Amino acid sequence: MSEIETLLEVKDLYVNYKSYWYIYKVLNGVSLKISKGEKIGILGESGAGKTTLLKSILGILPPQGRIVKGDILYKGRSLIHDKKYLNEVRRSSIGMIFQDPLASLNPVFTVKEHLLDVLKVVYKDHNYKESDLISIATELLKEVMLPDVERVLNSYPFQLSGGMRQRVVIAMALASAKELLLADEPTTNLDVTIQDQILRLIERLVNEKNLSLILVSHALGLLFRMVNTLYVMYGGEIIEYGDARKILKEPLHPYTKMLLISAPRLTSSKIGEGIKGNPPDYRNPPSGCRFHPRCPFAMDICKKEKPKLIRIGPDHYVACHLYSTSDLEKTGSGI
Amino acid sequence: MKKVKNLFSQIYRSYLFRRTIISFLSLLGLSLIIFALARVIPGDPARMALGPRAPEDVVERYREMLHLKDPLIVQYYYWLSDLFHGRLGISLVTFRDVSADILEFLPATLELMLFTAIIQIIGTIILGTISGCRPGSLVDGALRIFAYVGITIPAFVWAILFQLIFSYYLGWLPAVGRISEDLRVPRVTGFMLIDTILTGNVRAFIDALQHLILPSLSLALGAMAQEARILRSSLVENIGKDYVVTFASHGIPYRTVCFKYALKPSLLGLVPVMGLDIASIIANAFMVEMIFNWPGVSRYGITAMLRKDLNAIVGVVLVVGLIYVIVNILVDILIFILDPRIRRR
Repeated sequence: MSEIETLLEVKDLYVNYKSYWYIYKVLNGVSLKISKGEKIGILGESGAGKTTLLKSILGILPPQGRIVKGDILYKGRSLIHDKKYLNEVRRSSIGMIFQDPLASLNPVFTVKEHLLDVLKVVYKDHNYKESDLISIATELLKEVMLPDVERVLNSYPFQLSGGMRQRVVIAMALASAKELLLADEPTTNLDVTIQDQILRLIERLVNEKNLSLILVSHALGLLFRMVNTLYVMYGGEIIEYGDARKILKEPLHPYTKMLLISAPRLTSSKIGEGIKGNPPDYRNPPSGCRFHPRCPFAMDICKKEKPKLIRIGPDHYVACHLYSTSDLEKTGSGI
Repeated sequence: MKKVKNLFSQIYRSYLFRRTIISFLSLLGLSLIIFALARVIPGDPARMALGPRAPEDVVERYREMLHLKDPLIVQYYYWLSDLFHGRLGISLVTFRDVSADILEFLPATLELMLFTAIIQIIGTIILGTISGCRPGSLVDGALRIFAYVGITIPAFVWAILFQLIFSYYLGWLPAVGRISEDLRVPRVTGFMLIDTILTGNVRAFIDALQHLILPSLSLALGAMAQEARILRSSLVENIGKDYVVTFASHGIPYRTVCFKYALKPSLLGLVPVMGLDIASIIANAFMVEMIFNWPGVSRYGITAMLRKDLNAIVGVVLVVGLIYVIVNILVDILIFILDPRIRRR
């Protein structure tokens, strides 16, 4: 993989949230790389920092959130330090689908107003007339398989069903996503049958338009099907990454293992065990490896030293002291 | 054009129609309360009107003329039918026709009210959006202080302060009245600004405008400070919502995001508060009109209250009620236009 192909690179990113009394140290040195046409998935429990990561990429963190260290490069140029470039990228390179379709459309504007304002900045230099933009908007809505496009364009969000709204949100994201699509749990708050339709739609569009994709999800089957590379996040850190199939079949990090075991299965009669303990308290995160208080294999070193991501096999990296250097042979067989 | 026509037919069919009926009913309720109050107050209106030295048979005939010997419900009927014909009776003190008096004084008060409302709305939106879009900025901090000061200090204190500063010490603006005494403006509508334009008297127009500034500013400040804070906090809340952040994520300039996508949903909560504040200008105007010697209906009302002039009081209270009802209907229409969820229901 040569440097030129790299589309987006997140380098050692630290993000804090400030409340009145506390500082929440959420992202703790996250690095990530995506090249053209690649599809990566981010897996992790709620509050692991997945959404924070995506929002930092587009520079839309809430005002309390602050990037304290690290950099985000798009095609080699920083998005953090060059606001003009960030706006350019937001307009015509990266699009984002938000978590909750019911909350991501403005209740007092029509779908048409939403799309036109987005298209106006996307095609700022084209000198398009409004009728041209409307026909582009119509095309976009047809692409996301919305029926009766005329009516949808003139509707307010509350007049559309959840699935239709998410399609509109996808259409908006597609307007600017010419290279990279960020999808933050795109099926939350939708019912199961619609979830599947939406995912197929995203899959089809990404393939057709040859977009790169960062997909955040809890749905293991979905990740297995849609992405090449999988990143597992815990407590604001990437603890394991590599080839998606490999990780889902042979996870290495104790957290990934436990996470995969606790996923409910239709074929099993029992409910999964779950992972004991709570997600880390970001105000005062555990020292060393942030997972050590919940880890059944915790050693002394885990409390003292933050494990580095080490290469275990081709396309498989893990951040865990169990696998560092000589211990590999002994504990490699896992749980 | 067709869209506008549709909008109005929709208004007529459902929402506004219902609201108007409700407003009408509340006016009827108000009239009942006022009527009851006027009758509960001890004392004989006929005797009060004619004075202690009038002979008993004259007073008796006057009582019959006022229907005072009929049952209350019949009295209410007569009173109401008089009301519909615009007859509010004769002032018990000046023996002038109350409706004629009110018609004479009302335009001055309405002019003051409208001018105050305009200052209030413009000020609220400018201050609220600037500080809401830039929370923590210098303007935001200044507004916070201004809001506390504005809310705690009542309008009549502002009135005195402004009078002292701008008329007495600085001499920039006139202290009392609607227009300078040397100017004669023929009465057409009763609204000084409109009358001066109609008669083409530019100097008088400017003069009238100068007279309006201080009283309306002192009336506007308190509510403006409060409303600007409400707008600010609801803007701050909306800016963090996904449905606003979405637009930022598409590289739409922050100004557009803030002034359009965050402002419109924020106004929904503000408009009803604003409506109530604008309607209550007339109540606050009671003191301010006294201070600025403004020949309006509020000053008329105060004089009537001090003299226990029952018919005049009833007339003034009815006018105040009517203004509340009208402003509330306007608020309903505005909400109807702003919020599609109400419009399409």
